[in-house]
Amino acid sequence: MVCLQSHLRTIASFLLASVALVGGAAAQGPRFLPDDPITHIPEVPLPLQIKPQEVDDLYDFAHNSIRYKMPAPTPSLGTNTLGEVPDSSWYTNRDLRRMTREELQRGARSSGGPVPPFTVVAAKTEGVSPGFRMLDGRGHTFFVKADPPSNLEMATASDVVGALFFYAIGYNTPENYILTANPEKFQLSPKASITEPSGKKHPMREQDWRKVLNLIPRLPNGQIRVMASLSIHGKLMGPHLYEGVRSDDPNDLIPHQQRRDLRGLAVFAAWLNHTDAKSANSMDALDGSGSEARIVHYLLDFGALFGSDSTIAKDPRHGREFTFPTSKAQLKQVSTFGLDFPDWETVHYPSELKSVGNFTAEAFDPLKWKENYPNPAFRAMLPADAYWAAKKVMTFTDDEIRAIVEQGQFSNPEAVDYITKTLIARRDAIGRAWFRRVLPVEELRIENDEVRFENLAVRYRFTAAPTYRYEWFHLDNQTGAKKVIPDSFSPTVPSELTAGAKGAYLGCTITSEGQGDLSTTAYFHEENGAWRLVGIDRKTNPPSLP
Amino acid sequence: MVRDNSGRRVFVIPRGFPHLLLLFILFIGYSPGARAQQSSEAPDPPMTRTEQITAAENEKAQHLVPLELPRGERIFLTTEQKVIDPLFIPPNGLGLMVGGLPTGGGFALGPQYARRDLLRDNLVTDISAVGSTKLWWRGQTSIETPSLFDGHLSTRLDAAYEDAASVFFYGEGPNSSESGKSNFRREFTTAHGEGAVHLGGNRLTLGYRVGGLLVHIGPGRLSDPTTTVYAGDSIPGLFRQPQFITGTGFVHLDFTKQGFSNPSGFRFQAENTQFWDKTWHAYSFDLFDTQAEYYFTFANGMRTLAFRARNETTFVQNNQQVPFYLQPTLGSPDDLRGYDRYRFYGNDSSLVSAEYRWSVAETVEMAVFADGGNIYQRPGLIGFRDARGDGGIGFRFKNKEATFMRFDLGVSPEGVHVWFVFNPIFGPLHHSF
Repeated sequence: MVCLQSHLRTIASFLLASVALVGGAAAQGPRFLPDDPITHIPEVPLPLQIKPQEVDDLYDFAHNSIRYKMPAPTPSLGTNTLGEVPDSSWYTNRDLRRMTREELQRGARSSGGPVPPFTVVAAKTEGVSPGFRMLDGRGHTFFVKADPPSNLEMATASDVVGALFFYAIGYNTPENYILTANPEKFQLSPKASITEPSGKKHPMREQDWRKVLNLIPRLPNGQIRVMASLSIHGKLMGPHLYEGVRSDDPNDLIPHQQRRDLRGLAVFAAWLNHTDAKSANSMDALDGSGSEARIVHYLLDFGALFGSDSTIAKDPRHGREFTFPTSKAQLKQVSTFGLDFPDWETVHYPSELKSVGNFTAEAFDPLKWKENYPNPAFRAMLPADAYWAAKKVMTFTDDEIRAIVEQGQFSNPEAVDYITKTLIARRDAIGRAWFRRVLPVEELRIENDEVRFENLAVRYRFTAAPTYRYEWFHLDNQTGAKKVIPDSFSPTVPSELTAGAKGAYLGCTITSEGQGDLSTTAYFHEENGAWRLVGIDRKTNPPSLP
Repeated sequence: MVRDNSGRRVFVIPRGFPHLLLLFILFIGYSPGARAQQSSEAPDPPMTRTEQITAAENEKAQHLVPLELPRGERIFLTTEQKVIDPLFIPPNGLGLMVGGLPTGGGFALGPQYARRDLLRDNLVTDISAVGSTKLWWRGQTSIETPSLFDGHLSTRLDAAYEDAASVFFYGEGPNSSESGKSNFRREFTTAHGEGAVHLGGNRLTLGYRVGGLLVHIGPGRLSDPTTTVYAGDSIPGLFRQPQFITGTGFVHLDFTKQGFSNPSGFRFQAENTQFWDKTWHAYSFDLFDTQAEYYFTFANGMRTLAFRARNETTFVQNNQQVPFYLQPTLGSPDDLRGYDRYRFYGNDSSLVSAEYRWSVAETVEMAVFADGGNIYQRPGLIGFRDARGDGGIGFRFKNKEATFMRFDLGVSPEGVHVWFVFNPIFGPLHHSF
């Protein structure tokens, strides 16, 4: 019975979500409400007691790999009437065009890097990549990781640069810093503990600490270079899943696999080659207290971006095939006795740049990119979600990309050049791929009784300026009924719509010649003698991804 | 409803109605005042999007459910934590051991008790006993310090009893006939002490192992036991089994680099074992065993050409003999894969293998292979006369570090052999003695 109640409550939450949030929800009543499009998701206080979410990495892998099949298309939620993602505990719109180079390079890093002396409080010796936890001189807790000996600077740079990119895009990230210091700067806390490979925890002795230090590669000057990640603010509540909702968070209304900000994350992950985007690499934190308390959702652990796989350079398959073999390509590998060479086996990787690892734009196809194992939100992505994300990717200028990559503090400037060049090429591939599946018109407005807009595919020179067709209509906001104005094929607002228009709603459907299956419909509301954009519908091709 | 005298319709309250009304109110749990109050306080329908969302959040806040793992995940975790981990990968304590018998033993399983957490993970000890589907048995115990002086020194003591109930024997030499197939029981009881130094980040390992070997040879449990098929004086050691003292010096060189599917580079192993017959003083000899492997990877590490050359040479002096159960053999899933297990016995053997491997998925690899090798009776005959060859195809299941399971199908003039084993093809040198 409890189980049944639980299911009913979950179903009720889904229904509420679909009613309450826009983006295709069949809500009763007016199509547009007075505060549309909203820019911020309101949140209510949390209950006093919630407990951390547990995610078993192996179960997550097995569950998502074995049951994998392409999900049936479901509408994207968590958007406003323009199709944009409002600010929330998941995502913050950061206007890249207004961010200075310094702000981009700072990202979430408001506390400043670790300040000596460094007191080691815990460590692990398992694996080739040692890690430890330390307190800095201010008492701040940092989680510290090192590079693999085979690829110096690779994983530490990936962790820092990745966090900066995801922060600039709009996600919540920890403060990640590169720390270069003499080993003598680290002292052992008398209460320090170490977890041995057997899983047993002991008080850490000097020789244990030396063992950990010996696993960290030395720079030519004898210093060590590590990545120090400041502990997230607030009580840690465990990772978030990429499907379903947290049943104990009243603000978590939308099934995660339908959130546009999590679906679109697939495009950002493809751009940055974040193949390890999984639940275990996320964290929810309880921020604030009392009526201000809320759960904030973070992305974590960016050591496996670009050409890095944290402890080794990235497997060339990563980004192209799931770990658990599912694709026809793999069947082909079996049946052709290895005579077929997939493109990831023949592309060129910068073997001379060990700090880059295996990262390339060659043969990069944003539509075919895959995470290590199926992520339910990524697999549910629709072209409209991808378009939202692709717009964000395209906002990064060449110089901004370089500015962020420089924060990896590569000793070889060629590494910065290579990663920057590769990201620029992958960015453009993303724009080209997804701007073909919508009519990418933005900045829609009515000026001087004409509809004006910017075609992003033209702005970024992916295509020549097309010829457009227009269809104007009157919208009954209460019923949603549209009354098309005959013979209204020009960008000029028909006089039938402007006469006595106070408080009226009108719409304009724009199509481009030769791409009749793609269209964008803009909705305007007359307010104080001006037309305000209140909604956008986009018809994509295909409506969902194969 | 009735009409009054003027003909207008009027309501007439029947006698007893107030009681009925009271009962109704009590039944539905409302009072008129409460209903009026509720009506006046009912929220207006949300007028803005923000209000709509807030209302939905407040509604959910009334029905929050504590986090609970889905049933499937609960079962998975319980199975993983309570069954799989303790049984198959016990960090410390009692678990299950799979395999551990020499080739031909069949699927083996048994209990194992291991401790890896002693002296702050510096002392590892285990004891295990396995039995197989072919009624082969093995019990062993060991204690080792795998990583002293920052990994530069390792020591090990071990003891084992192994009962191989039906080892095939076809007679000695390269021209032994398939029709000469027999089987014998081979019981080895061993004890060793070993020390090794590891230098250059484990690229070079030098060590020495000293031990004892008790042997018992008897009729195999299958039909055609060797003891009846072959005359005792024609097969050295068939009816006279000595006790040996053994001493093995070894050197391993490893210049391989970790790869995505296979390592790349060169690996070399050489071991020389001296056998001192302490019973009959008739079977003392040296066995010099060398193996070189080379891995050439291409196609961004997804394809590998792997080569292995192995030679086992015995040296005898003063009319001593090499007992047949300690002679090098060919024919197994690890050498000539197109031939039956232990197909060829001789004092010396040479073997070359080549594989073309291609990675199908991160955990699956395929290979086409060819093996060639021969058996000969004295070191001076090294070469490839009387060589036997085979070819085939294999499926390997692996993680980044190693192959943990493989199917190999080998074809030779003597037929088709399918192998399903739990070790890599070009693994470390291994002997039961």
